[in-house]
Amino acid sequence: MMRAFHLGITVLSLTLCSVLCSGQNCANGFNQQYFNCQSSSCSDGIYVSYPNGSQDGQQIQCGGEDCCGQLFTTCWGTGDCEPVKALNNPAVKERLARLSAESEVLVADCRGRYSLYMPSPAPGKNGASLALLNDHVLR
Amino acid sequence: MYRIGDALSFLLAVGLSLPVQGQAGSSPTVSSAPLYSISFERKEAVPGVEASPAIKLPFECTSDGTVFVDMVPIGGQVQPPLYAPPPLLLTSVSPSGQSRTFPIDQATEQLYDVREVDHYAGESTVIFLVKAASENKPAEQIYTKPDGSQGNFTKNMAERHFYIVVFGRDGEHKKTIETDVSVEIQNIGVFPSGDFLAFGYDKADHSPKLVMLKDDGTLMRPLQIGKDDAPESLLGTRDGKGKGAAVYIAPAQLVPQGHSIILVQNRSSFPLLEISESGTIRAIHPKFSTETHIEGMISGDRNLYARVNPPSEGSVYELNAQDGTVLRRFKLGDGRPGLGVACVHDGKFLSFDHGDGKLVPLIGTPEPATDPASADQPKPTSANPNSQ
Repeated sequence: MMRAFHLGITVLSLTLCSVLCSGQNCANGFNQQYFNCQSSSCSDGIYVSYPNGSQDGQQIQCGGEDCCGQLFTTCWGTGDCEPVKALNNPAVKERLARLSAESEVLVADCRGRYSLYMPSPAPGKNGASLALLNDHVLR
Repeated sequence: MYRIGDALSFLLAVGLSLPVQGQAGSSPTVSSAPLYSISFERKEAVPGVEASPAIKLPFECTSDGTVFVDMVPIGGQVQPPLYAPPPLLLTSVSPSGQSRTFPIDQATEQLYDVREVDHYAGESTVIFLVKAASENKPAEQIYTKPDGSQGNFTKNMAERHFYIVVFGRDGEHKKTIETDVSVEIQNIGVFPSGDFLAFGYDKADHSPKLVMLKDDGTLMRPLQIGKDDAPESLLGTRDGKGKGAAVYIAPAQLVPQGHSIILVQNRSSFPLLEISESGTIRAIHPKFSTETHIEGMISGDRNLYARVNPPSEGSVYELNAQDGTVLRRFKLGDGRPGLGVACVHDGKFLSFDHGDGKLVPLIGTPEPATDPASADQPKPTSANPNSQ
């Protein structure tokens, strides 16, 4: 059972690394997952963050983190990335909101891909979405 | 009793046959259209074009495959005396990578309070519809601030008129003409002959109006839209139930189709209206369910390409321009949205990415795909969407 768990964690780490270490240095946001780590002499837990596809573009940096001898790859944001940085100007946001009210507007994300612009939701909703995922769903 | 029994049988038969007829006339037609998957290939960035990370839709295309992109300027400061953001910059990119810009602000320097309403890329000209004043009559106005105190601002009280600004395809400003119609124009198009087509609404009752204008901006003739081919009023409230103060104008789009122009009444169940140069209107009823709406039309060099909502298997439908039959369905690979497709030319789907401040063209090639909803049906055999 424990061996299967360790194998699963290793596969997950390798999968995450294959996604995150493939040269992509820009993400649209982050999802978090919590993992329990156990060995014969250790019981611990770790939050792992990985990029998602929301509209808030950030530059990312990834690295390894130890949990009971298991190495997890996790990522964190280091600031807005181009071209999203330009779109985060309040005056630009206001203009895009006005334009998008009367016609469809495309904006580029960090990967340079154009997608439909959607005005930011009310403050507080972004934070809530990050907190949605907790360890209860993984147990 | 016999008659009642007959009547019940008849009603039962009608009741049972209605949904069957609906399905036979709509969904099966769509699901039997072959499904294609489009994978995109990145090309070299367009030289000489400073791409904005924001683009206002729709894209436009001419028959030679030139794409017109409406860039939203991101840089620059809002400066007095206008305190207005810089205008959008329409930019064309030809298949060979040549670019042109159409600076509407430079062409309208003699006008005041210019507001772009619409534009249209024709085969030989590119036209803009603007609403502006021909003179400046400043007057002090008073407004109430959120805290209840009053402030002053200066407003140009001169009457606004519609103007058509004509550019050559090379980006050179040719002329600016004032329109002479009473219609509140929302969309403008130009026929190869140089005559204009204008769609808008009556200022009094907001009923839809379609008129042809001579090349000097005067009325050539009004066109009669069929009774059931457009809404009674082009104005509606945001929630459609009369609640809320926000008022919107029904979205519409004029798309070139050979020598004709197609009026697309987006997000509605009204038919496409093909208007010929002679002023004949022909309704094209797309053959899909009433729950499916056209979100926008993609310019194509042959048939019609519609972005549909809700997207099922395939977010873009190719429609027969004659009868509205769904010929093919396309789903875009790599999670790309249908609204990113700029046009369809020579069977290829053109789109763009933004890379290092440049426009990066993407060429999409359709390949036959398996439709999960009809996996037992024969797969399409041709990869060319225009092979029919």
